[in-house]
Amino acid sequence: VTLHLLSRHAENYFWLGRYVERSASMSRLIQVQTAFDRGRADGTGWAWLLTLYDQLDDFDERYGANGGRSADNVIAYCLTDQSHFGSVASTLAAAHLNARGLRALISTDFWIQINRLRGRVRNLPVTAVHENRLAQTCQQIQTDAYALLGIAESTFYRDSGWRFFCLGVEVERADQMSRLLDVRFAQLSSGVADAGPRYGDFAFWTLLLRSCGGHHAYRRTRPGKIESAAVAEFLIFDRSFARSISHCVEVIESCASELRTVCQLPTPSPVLTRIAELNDLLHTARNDAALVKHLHAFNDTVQRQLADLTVALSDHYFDTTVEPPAAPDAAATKTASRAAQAADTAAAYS
Amino acid sequence: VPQASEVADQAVIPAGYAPGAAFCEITSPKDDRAGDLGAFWGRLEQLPTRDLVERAADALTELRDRGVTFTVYTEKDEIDRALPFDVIPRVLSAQEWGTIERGVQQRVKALNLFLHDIYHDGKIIADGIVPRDLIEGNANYRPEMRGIDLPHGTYVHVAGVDLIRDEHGTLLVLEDNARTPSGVSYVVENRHLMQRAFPDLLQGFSVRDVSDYGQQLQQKLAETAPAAADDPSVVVLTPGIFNSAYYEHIFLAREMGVPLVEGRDLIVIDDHVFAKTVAGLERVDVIYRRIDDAFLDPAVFRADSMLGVPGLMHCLMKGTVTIANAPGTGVSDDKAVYAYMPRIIEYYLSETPILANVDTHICREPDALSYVLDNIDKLVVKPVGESGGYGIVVGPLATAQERAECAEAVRANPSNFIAQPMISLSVCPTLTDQGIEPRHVDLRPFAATGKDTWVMPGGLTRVAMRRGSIIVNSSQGGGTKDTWVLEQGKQTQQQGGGDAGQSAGGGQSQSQGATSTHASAATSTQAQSATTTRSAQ
Repeated sequence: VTLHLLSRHAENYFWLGRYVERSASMSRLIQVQTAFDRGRADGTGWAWLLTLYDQLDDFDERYGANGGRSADNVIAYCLTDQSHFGSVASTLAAAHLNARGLRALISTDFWIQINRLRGRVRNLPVTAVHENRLAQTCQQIQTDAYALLGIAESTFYRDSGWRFFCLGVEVERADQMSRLLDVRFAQLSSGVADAGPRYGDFAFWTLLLRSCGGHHAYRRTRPGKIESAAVAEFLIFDRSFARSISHCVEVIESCASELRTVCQLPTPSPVLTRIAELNDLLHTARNDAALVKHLHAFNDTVQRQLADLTVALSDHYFDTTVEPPAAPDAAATKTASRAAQAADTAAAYS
Repeated sequence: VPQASEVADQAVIPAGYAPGAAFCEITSPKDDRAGDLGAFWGRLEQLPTRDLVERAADALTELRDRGVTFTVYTEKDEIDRALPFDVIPRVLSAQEWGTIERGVQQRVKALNLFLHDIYHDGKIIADGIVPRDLIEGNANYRPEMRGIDLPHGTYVHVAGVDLIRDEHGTLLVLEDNARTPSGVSYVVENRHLMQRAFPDLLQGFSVRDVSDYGQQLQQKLAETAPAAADDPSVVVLTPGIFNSAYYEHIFLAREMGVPLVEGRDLIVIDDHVFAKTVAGLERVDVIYRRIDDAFLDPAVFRADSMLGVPGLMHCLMKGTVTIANAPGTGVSDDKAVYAYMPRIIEYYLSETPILANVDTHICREPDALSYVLDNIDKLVVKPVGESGGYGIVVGPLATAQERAECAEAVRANPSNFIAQPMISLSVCPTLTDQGIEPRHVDLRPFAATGKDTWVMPGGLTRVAMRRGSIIVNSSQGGGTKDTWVLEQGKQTQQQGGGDAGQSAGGGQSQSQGATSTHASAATSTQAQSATTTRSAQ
């Protein structure tokens, strides 16, 4: 008789998906920043990356006495710093660890690719992160991480493990999009206009769209129109854009449903409730004419609900009174505390 | 792997290839292997060394990429290292293999009967064949196993019997591994690697397949499931993803098609073992465990074990689960008991051992004791309670004072010692930094036992990569080789295929056999002029 997927392996699949997606996303952000944010006064154009995960304090603690928020330091912190859990190197190490736990289940092709990628990023030579090479280096990491997703799609057996993997990818993708939106729109309203593109100008929106790989799709579907409401609408609601929050939630919903219909697993009500909440939230926001003004509350709620969904999945499928996942997801904790602070403003969306 | 530039221009069989007094697995003549080996040597001759070196480097890269590694721990973090792989296979004739196969089957059968006996009536002790204190005083004897009946009386489901070959070419058992012998994954991976990297070397040889190990093992394990389980579930139990043999555990789970579990994935409820799955708790019938006895069940053995499953032993006693290998098998592969194996085989099976032991003197027996004391300068003296080579005195290499101290210790407590002559290991041509040179090898065939015993055709050939060294252990720089068991009379030696010019076989050399390096070189030169030649057999 064949046993069902082990709970521990389901958890590995989920976090493998999240960490692979996160490393692709982070390397894309750095790549876009370095490739397209040129020709302007340098110095402060990088610090915003630290606000994605509320990491300013942590960063200042590590680098404050040693050059502060210089481009080199921020890049090191986000890309290569193996003592920082959120760096691309650490994220890939965490993905690799989960893949290692799944080695008997995943394809050799996937394992070879993640072995190589993790090894390469762990041993990046100094020259590879030098300003002159940074764009190429990040482009390569990003492409290699995309390749991981492609290999998974081409080779993973379509059992419940595959669905947990996809759930991880989509939860992470929606979370990343929400964070990026939040930080960028916060910059817009803060009125700080020191370096980098001037907030709200054409280059600013282009950079945001490139940061999530949506630049050309946006141009094609909304020619000649580039302003805040349209960009927000595209990134949140365009169901044909793979990174839009709506699209991610749609895939999350179908994965959860396939767990029941295809894999014959019980789908617990907390999971369904969380997904229904996300749908409600999107529906309400869709009808909010002043969404751009409420964007921060909206994003806080999205991130909290995604964290809640993760907890619901964990409680039902992964929780077997085992230790926490391989790398601590401090981001989820941060989200929860942020959500608490913003509870009042978010009330409209919950 | 050597630098291509250093050895590439050498002849593949250097004129100086000299196995010396050691038996060479490829070039030394012997009745039961005439023909096949010469043909192989001829084949090797025609593969340029440069080619060999380059493809060896590719093979190593491939192993690393595929994650066929063992883990080395440093202060900072873990490093996965590919086990050194030597591209020149070790070849066994069908006849030689027949002996090994029957010998291993006989040995495993005796081991299981012995274990059943010592955990039940202890007849072999009562009959005075094996001393009681050797069994019950053994650190690996598990009193918890007394009186437990196991399906088919199988204790040793998986055995690895380490074989060596003396200077006459006689195969001898060096050690029985009846706990959790490792290395079987390399046997299969090495073959896959050879098939990919050296198709021309294999061309025309009929080599017995090793890739069905997982299927055979799964079947044998299922045979030993508790009687109540009609469609048994099997799992592999690993200490976890940081264990140095984790790759092998993955291999076993994947090849058998069963889940790879950790202790925390299992739970005992109402005398049954369950796995925690996304669909809830599910019954587990057979556990192929790759953790030591001491860590199996914190409720019975080491209380601080985080790797095991509390209550597991109780389930074994109740007969609701099978643990493979059974707890307590360590008593049978102990050095002290090893010395008695020929007598154990005769006692239970009334047969002569097909594979002999290395000549072993049991110092607790008066005749042996006086022999050992008289010849201590020629012998290797081993304390029986120790493992890992600790406390061994190598007579011929020891100082006079060390020998005197050793003799004193043996005299004081003879029961604690055995002695063996200096062991000679056979050699096999091996690609080294200096080109192809003889290096010492051993052989570990693997046997899976359920109702009866199946022996995987081949086994792990370990090779000491340093000149003159007989340490084949992977943690000490040892490597592995692919091990070919040739099928009887099926070597076709066809010309052609791939880089045909290089891969023409030495068909004629088959009938002549390989009498020496130079003889085989000569026959393969003849063969080069032959077109399609057929085996003379």
